[in-house]
Amino acid sequence: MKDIRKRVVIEADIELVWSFVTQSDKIAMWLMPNDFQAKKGHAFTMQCQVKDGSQGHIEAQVLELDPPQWLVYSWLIAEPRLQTQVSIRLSEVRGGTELNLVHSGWEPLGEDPEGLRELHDSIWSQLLGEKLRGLICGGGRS
Amino acid sequence: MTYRLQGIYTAIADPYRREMMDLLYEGELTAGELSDQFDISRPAVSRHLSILQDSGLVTVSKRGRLRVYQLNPDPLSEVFDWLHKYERFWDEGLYRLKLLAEEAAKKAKAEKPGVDDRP
Repeated sequence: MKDIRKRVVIEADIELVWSFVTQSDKIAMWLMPNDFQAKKGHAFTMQCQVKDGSQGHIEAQVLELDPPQWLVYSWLIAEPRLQTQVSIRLSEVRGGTELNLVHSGWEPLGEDPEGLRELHDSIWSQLLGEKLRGLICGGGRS
Repeated sequence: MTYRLQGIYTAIADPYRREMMDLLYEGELTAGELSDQFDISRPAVSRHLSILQDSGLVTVSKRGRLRVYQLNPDPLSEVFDWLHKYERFWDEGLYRLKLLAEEAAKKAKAEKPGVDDRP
């Protein structure tokens, strides 16, 4: 399964954007309540509200940190149990800061990490057609 | 109907089970017909089939005294939906981040007169 990739340009300087991705109270404002600390190796959790109202949480750990442009944390999803990874790169552009986020690790873990991709090739496209393919590619209507 | 994602991942992680799904994609088959296609024992084939049934990817129905297996692709759409939710999660989160950071940047500028082109 391919990575989730997001890009956004923010009209703010890089140090300010960096503070929003590395300060616990600021992260909580756009992402989730958390006990993040900008320290390599720091283990933290993010509290998430599940749709039915119950609380879930994401276990995470800071893997790489290079202020003010590079941050990687692990992101353990409970159900299905998947160890994924989020990386955030900031770069200065005219008029502000570009943020590139990559959320990777969607291959199912264990015996056959290529499982989903192979299945995608052999069955998904045939059975489910372009509609769902469009959905996952973010288009939906195209 | 909702399926357990973990079960779906487990089901499709195995190459034998994926091959069974490929065969069933061509049309329904009995356990015996499926077994003939594999070099593993019939009990082993049965175990794979029951894992596929548990995940919802394969359904079984009776034709007389025969049990016939069919492929049911619906659970796969759960996987897509779930990933799609993650896509939206980041879209919405990063949009909030953009608004918040831009607001903070404007405020910081306003507090430091003379550094921009304000009157």
